[in-house]
Amino acid sequence: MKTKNCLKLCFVLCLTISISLSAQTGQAGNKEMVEQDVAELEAINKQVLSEIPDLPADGTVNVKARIRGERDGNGIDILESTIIEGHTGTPPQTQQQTIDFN
Amino acid sequence: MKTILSSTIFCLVIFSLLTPSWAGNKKIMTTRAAKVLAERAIVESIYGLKVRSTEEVVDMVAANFVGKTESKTKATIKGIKIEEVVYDAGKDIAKATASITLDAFTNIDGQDMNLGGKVFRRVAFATSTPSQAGPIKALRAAELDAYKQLAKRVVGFTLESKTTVENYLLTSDVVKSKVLATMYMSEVSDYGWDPQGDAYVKMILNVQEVGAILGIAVVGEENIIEVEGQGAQIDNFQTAGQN
Repeated sequence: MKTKNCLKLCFVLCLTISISLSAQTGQAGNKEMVEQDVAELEAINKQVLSEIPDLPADGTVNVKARIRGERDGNGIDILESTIIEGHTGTPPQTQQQTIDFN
Repeated sequence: MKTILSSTIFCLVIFSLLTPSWAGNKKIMTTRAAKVLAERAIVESIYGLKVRSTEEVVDMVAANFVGKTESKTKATIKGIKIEEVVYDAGKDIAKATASITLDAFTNIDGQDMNLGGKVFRRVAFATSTPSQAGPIKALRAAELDAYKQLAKRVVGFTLESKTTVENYLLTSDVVKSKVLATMYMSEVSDYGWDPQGDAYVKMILNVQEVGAILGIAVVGEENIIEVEGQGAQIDNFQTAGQN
C-alpha cells in the first residue's frame, strides 16, 4: 500500500514538474525578440556582403553601408568596403561604390 | 470582559475607517504619474523626439547580442487636456488619456508645421507599486522599439561589419547597426499585451500627411508606414545565456 502511494506521489510530482517546465518555455520574455533581431541583422549583413564583388575564399571583409528601408526590401548604399585577402597580412584593397536600387 | 470586547470592536471600527484615507495618497500619485506620461506621449507625437539605437551581434550568436535604444525630448506645449483618467485600485494602475488640438507648431527640427486644427490623442499608464510596473515597462519598451523601427524605415540606418572567412569557413563575424534620427508626427494605432504578458505597440506615420503639413512634396514613398514594436517584462534572454 505504501509503495503504491509513493508511486502515486512520484507521478504527481513528475507531472507538476513537466507542466511547470512546459509553461516556462511558453512564457513571455525578450529571448525570441533578441533572436529575431539577430536573424534580421545577419540577413542584412549577408545582403550587404553579396553586393561586394570578388569576395575572397580566405580573408576579412570590412564593410560600412547605409541601409534604407523600402516597401519591398532594403536599399543598400555601400559607403566603404575593405578586403584583406588571406590571413598573412596582404595589403588591403579599398573599394568605394554606391549601389542605388531606385 | 465586556469592556475589553467593546474597546476591541471600537478599535477595529476606527482602523477600518482610517484605511481608505491611506489609499488616497497612492491613487493621487499613480494618476498624477499617468497624466505626466500621457503629456510626454503628446510631446513625442507632435514636437518629436530624438531616437538613438545601437545593436551589435558577434558570430551570429544571440547570446553575444547587445541592443540599446534611447529617446530624448523637451518642449513647452500649452493646451494639453487630460480627457480621462481610469484608476484600478486593486492593481494600483492608472490610465490617462491626453489630447491637444493645434493649428501650428514648430517641431524638434525647427520646421513650422501647419496642423490645421488636428487633434492628437495619446494614452499612458502608470503605477506607484513597483511589483505592478512590469506590464507598463514592457509597454514603454514596445513604444521605443516602434519609434526605432519607424526611424529605420524613414531615415535608414548604418551597418558596419567585419567578416573573416578561412578555408571557406566563417571564423569571425561582427555586425553593428546604428540609428540616429528625430521622429515626429508618429501616432499609436494600437497597443496591448499578449496572453504571455509581452507588450506590443503599433505605430503609424502618415508620410503624405506629414509632407502636406510641412509643405513639401513627398514622391515615391509609401503613404502610410506602419510598424509594430515589442517589449518584454521578463528577461529570459540573459537567463538562457547563463545556463
